[in-house]
Amino acid sequence: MTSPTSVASVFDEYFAALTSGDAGAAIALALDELDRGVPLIDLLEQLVAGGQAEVGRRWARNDWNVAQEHRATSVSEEVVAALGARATPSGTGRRVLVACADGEWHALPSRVLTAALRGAGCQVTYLGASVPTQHFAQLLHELGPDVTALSCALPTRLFDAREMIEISRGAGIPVIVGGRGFGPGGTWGLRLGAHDWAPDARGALDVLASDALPAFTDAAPPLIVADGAIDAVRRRRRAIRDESMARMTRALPDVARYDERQLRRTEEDVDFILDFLCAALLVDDVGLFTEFVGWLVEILVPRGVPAATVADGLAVVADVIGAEAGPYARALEFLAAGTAVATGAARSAGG
Amino acid sequence: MEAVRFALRSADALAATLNLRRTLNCVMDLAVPYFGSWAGLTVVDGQHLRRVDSAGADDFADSARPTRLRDLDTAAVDALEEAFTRPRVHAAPAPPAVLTALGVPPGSAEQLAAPNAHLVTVPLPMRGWGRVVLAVVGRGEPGGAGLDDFARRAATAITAAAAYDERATLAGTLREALVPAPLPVIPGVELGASYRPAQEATRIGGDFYDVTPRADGRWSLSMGDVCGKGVEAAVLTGQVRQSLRTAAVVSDEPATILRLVNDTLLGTHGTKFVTAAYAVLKRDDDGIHVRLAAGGHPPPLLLRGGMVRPVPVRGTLIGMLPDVSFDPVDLRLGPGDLLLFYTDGAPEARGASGLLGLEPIEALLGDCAELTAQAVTERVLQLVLEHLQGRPHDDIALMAVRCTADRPR
Repeated sequence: MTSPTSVASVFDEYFAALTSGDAGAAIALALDELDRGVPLIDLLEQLVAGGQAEVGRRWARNDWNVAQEHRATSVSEEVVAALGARATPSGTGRRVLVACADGEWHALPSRVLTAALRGAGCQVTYLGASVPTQHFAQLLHELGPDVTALSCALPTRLFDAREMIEISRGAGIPVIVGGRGFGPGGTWGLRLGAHDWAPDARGALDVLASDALPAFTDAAPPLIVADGAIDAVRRRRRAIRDESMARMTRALPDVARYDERQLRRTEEDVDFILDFLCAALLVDDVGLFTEFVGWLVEILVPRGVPAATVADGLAVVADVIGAEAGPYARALEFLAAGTAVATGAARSAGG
Repeated sequence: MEAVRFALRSADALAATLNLRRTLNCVMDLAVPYFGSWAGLTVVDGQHLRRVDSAGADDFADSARPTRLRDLDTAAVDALEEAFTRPRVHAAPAPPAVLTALGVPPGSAEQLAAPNAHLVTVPLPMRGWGRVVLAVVGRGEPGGAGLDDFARRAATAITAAAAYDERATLAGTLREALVPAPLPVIPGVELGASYRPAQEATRIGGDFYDVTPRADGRWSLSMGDVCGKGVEAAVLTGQVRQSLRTAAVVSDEPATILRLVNDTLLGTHGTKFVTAAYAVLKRDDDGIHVRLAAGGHPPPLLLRGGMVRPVPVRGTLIGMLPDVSFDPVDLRLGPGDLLLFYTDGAPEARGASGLLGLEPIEALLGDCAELTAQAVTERVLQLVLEHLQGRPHDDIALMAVRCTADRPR
C-alpha cells in the first residue's frame, strides 16, 4: 500500500490552499490522494486534522487573525464534506450519535470523526455544533444509537458535557468522548462518567472495534462535589466580574488606559477565567485551571497584554471572590495556583 | 437475593430507553446469561416476522428486512402459532419446526443435546402491538426463577417503546416539513443561518427562513416570525412559507408578495399574524442587487467596511389589517458586504442583566468583517446564548447573506 510519508509529501501544498482559502484546490488535492489509494483515515487525520492543528498554532501565535483562521477552517470543513461524500459506503455497522456539547462551536473534530466512522461502515447521525441538551435527549430515544460520541474542545463546556453523559447513560447508551476539552488522556471526561476516551478519530475507531464499551450501561455515577464552590461562584458570577473590572480599572495602570474595545475584551477574559475556574472545580483538578492560565498568557502576550497584567488580574479576581464569606477555599486555592503560573511567565519573560 | 438484584436491574434497564430496537436488544442483554445461554425474541406484526437474539441477530436494524410469514414452511408457522398461545418447555431434541420458527442458531440447538437442557418459550403479554414470543435455551430448572415476571416486564417495556416508535416516526416526518430547509449554494453569494427554537427538544418553532430559486434566475429570500410558539406556530409557518412561495410565482415585487400573504392570512380562520422580511436577490458582475420589503419585522443589519447600520425598511405587521403598506428599498451589496437578517428573539433575549439589545449584536457584527456568513450567524447566536446563560428564550433565527469577492461564474 501507500507509504506513511505519502500524506506528508502533499501537506505543504494542502496547507497553502488552506492559507489562501482555496477550497477547490484543497478538495482536489485530498480527493486525488484518496483516488491514489491513501486510506481515508490518514487523509482525515494527517491532512485535515493536521492542517487544522497548524491553523490553531498560527492563530495562538497571533501570526494569523481570526478571519484567516475562520477561512481556513471553512475550507477544512468543505474538504471533510467532500471526502465523506466520496468515501461513504452504506454502513451496517454500529450506530453512533456524534454531537458537540451545547455551547461548543468547534465542529470540525466531530465532522472528521463522523467521516471516519462512516468510512469504517458505522451508521452515524451527526448533530453538529452546540446541540441543545433537550434535543439530544429526545433524539437518543428516537434514534436508539449503540454509542454516543461527544466532542468537546473547551473545558468550559464540561457542564453541558456532563449533562449529556448523564442523559445518554440514563438511556443505557455508553459514551465515548474526544477532544482537548476532556483533558489529557480524557481524564476529565472519564471523571464525568464517560466510558472511554479517544485521542483522535483513529483511536475512536479502535475503541469501537474493541470490547471496551458495554452494549447497555447503567446510570452515570454521581459526581463527588464536596463543597458548594461551583454554585457559589456561579451565583455571584456577574457581580464578581463587574467588581473585578471596576477594581482592575482602578488599580492596574495598563487597564486604566484601555479603550472601550479593549475593556470589552478584558471583560470577556474575566468571564473566561470564571468559566475555567468553575470547570476546574467541577472535575476537581487544579491542573485544568493552571493549564488554562498558561494558555491565556500565551494568547494574550502576543496581543499586547503582558503576563504580569494577567497575574495582577487573577489576583484581583481572587480578592473579589475572597471578600465575601462562602465555600470558596478551593476556588481561591486554584486562583492562587493560576496566579503563580502567570507570575512565573512574567518573571521568565522579564529575566 | 440474586433474583431480587436481577429483578431490580431489569426494571432499571428496561425503563431507561424508549427506543424499540434498543429495548428489544436490552431484553436479550438481560436474559443471557441469567436465564440461559441463548435467547431470542420473535415478533410477528401483520404478515411479517422479525427476530432479535442474544447472538447478534437484529431484524430491527435499518438495513434489515423482515421475513414474510408466507416464506416460512407450514410446520414452522404452526409451531409459531403454538408458541404464541401458551408457555412451553421443549426437552431435547426439540422439533426442527420449532427451532426454525424461533430462529435458534445451530450452535444453540446443539446445546439442547446436553443433559438437563431445554428450550423454553413464553408468549409475551403484549397490549396492542404485534405478537412476541421469548425463547430461551438453558439448563437446570426450566426458565430458572422469575422468567414469567421477566416476560411481563419485557412486554410492558416493548409495548411502550413500540408506541413511542410509531409517534416518533410520525413526528419526525412532520418535523422535517417544518424545520428550515438547508440553504442552497448560489455562485457569488455566501449564505449562513442559525436557528434556536424556544422548544429546544423538538427544534420546531415559529421562526422561519427560506432561500429559493426564482424561475427568472434570481433568488427569493424570506425570514419571518409567526405569532405563538411551538407546534401550533410551526404549523402556521408552514402555511406562511407556502403562501410566500405561491405569491413569488405571480410577482417579483417583495411588497406585492407580502401583500398577497396578508390577504391570504386575513382570509383564513382565527387571528394569525406574522412579521416577515422578503428580498429578491440578483447576483451580477458587480455585486448583489437586493430588493427588500418588510412587514413588522426588525430591519436587517448591513455590514460594510467594518461599519454596521440597519437597512431602513418599514411596513405593516402582516395578517392583522386589510390595509397594509410596505416601503421597499433597493440595496446593492458589493464584494465583502454582508446583510444580517434576524428575528426579535435575538435582541430580546433576557439574561441576568435584562434584554440583550441590539447594540452588542451590532458591535459584534462590526468585528465580523472577514468571517464566513455561517460563522457570523454562529457568532451572533453564541453571543445571545451566552447572554441567556441557559434561561428560557423565544425562537431565535439568524440568516446572513454575503457578496463574495469572486465573480459568479
